[in-house]
Amino acid sequence: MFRCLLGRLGDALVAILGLLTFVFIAARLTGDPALVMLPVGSTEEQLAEFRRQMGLDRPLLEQYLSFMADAVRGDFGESFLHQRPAMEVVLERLPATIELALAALILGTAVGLLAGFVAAIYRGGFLEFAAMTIALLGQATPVFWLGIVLILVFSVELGWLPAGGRGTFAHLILPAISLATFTTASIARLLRSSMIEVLKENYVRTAVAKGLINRIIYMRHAARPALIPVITMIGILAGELFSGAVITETIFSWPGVGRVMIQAIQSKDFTVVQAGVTVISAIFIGFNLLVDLAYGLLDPRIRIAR
Amino acid sequence: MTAKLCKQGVCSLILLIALSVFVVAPSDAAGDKAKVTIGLVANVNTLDPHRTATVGTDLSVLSQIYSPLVIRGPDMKLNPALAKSWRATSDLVWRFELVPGVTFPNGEKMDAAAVKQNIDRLLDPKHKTRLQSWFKALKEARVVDVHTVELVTKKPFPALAYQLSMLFMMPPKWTAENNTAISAMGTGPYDVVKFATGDHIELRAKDNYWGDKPPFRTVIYRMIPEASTRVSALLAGEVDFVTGFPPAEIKRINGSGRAKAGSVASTRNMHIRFNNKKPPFQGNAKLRLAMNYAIDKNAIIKDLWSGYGKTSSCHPLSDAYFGFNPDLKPIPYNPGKAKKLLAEAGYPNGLDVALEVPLGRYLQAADIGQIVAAQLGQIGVRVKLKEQDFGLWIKKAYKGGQGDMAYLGLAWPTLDADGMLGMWKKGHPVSYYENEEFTRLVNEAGSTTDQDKRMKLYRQATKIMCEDSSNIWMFFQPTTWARSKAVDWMERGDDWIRATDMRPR
Repeated sequence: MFRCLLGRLGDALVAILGLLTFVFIAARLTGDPALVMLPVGSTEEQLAEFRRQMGLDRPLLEQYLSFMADAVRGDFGESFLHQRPAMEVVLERLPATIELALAALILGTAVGLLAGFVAAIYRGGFLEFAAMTIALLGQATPVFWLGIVLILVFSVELGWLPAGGRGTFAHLILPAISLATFTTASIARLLRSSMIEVLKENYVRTAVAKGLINRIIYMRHAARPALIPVITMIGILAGELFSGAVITETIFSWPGVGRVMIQAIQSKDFTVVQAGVTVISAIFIGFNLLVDLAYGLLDPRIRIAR
Repeated sequence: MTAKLCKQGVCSLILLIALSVFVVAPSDAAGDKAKVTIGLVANVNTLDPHRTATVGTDLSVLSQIYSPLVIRGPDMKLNPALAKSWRATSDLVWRFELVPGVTFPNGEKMDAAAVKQNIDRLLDPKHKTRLQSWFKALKEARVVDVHTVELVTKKPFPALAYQLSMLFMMPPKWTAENNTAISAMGTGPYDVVKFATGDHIELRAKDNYWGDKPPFRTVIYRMIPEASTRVSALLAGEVDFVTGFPPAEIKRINGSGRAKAGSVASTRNMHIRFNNKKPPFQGNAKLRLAMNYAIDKNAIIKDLWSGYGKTSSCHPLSDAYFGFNPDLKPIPYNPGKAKKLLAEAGYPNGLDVALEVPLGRYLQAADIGQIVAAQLGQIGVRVKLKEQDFGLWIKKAYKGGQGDMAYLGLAWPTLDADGMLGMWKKGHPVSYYENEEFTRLVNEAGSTTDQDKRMKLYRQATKIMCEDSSNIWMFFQPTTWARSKAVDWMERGDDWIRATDMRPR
């Protein structure tokens, strides 16, 4: 198990280094920070001075090698825009992203599991119809539209909740609901189909034949195996949520990683983009690792196979 | 089953969420006269006033914390700030008399030596100051006496005083010892209470401010990048002032009865640049004029911007700029004349041209590109639209790779023709104009501090531009604004957003 974990960590490191190389090259193909950050009227001399100050006048290979050498020591350079260490700029936004992602994940998972479960055991009934219709709508609704509607209803018209920003619990509610909608819908639909499959299994039929009550059949015999694909899904969704939700963060003025990244990309603030990609990929890989470990807990066969 | 789930906490979670909906949000901005909350269009990235050139966000906030030597009022005129008077003593020397007795909150004196140290920091490449590029003509600062300082330039720098309105004075000792990107210490009307990066910055009025009493006790600048959220926050009473939303929203805001919205013509001239370095536009003034007659600018302003915005006369300056030429008028829409000129220019059957539209910078640029293409199509000019990310487009344009035409918006923060017209001089990377006489006149105007002479030269230069139809002159993009009923705002068309331009109602 420990060796397996070490192996996975090694893979993760290689993936991050590969990704960083890609981002380093891709960022430089999209434009010149000097031209984006300085006013349009700047002269060649002014642009050259900016590039010199930011170290962008050096040969690309030299920039790459020094970036990689610094990056492995945790130094991602200074942000052109924020004028302080790029990693600091990204990390100070992480608590906001974690707060929102956690709220959305808890809300989405709780409601999604409940809806999926209800839809599977009341198959063919009104509850299934209602749960699945809502799930379908949740998956099909664009986040930006939902966010704007939530603000118009709950902030502008009713005046119950703030339209954006971070601070109190009230600030968290609308962005969390907005972000959780897709998660809820995905989990509900997946759990429903997974449960329906499991309920057709022979051992479930045996349990019914033994005369076990429904509650035990559903909770003990069906739910655990049905949850395995759902756990994978939650892991992937968590990775996405914790990487910063650009649209939700922008609409609700939420000061998270997603917003700082989109600004960095638009302004060609390479150092922040590079630091951000490292953090995001580490989070994503971390969640995948957790999902792998969770399999073993839920299904002993997977544990033994390892 | 349901009971079991409830026991497991699912019900309580749902209940918590349902109840939380009824938590009344803090809606404390409107009505509280001691406080004003302003919604900014983007992040405040740094608190170091020498290391940012972004007026609409960073410098606007910093102008409340730090003071400049001179300040531009909402009427666009220069007013005394830390310098009570100033004058050019020769073409290369400017003398500033400072207000005596001003100190920074930490006790450092705001005197001539402090000005010199600020100028030294500004010009020293080691400090990577972003504003440095605007002060390239500045050579040094000389202390005359404790309250008098002279700024010496390498060549005549007529717009120096205007440029100085963007340069804020920092306490030298404190600056050397602190992280100026996230903390601030100025002689401005407000002190920083809290800088929550990416979210908001809270300022509190100084009790012993040396200038006029600040209008609000507390100022909060909130960073709200999404335009619809900014408007919603205003209508919900969370913020008192916002800018930068689509003009179509003005009617909705005014109709709500909760806030007042309007628009002021900005100083950003929107135009279509011809590539005069190559055919078909090179040396063909009739063709360029035909294109000008073919565009119905008023219709675009009316239909796309609900009538907000202002048509440009046939040169890039608005009346807010020094050097504006009132004799020049907008070129009217006249498709018949445009067709005739097109034939005279050698294209009786029309021609094919490319129009590049950089995206992500200018108000509804993609829509405008399509309208222009359609209107040019009506006189027989077949336009191929090329939309591109601004960063990629500007990189190409700076290397001389602009296509036949490009939609661009330019402004110059000093509101002086020297900088603005400089972008059309031969040899400037984005000029694409290439007129020797125009370039000579602008250079000559930039080499003297005699304002009358400069004005005369700029009028000659702009007349040449107009006669030449150097561009398709479009309009000045509108700056939209909206305020709650709790505050008044002195309208201004440049990008400054200051609480000191607002008053409680």
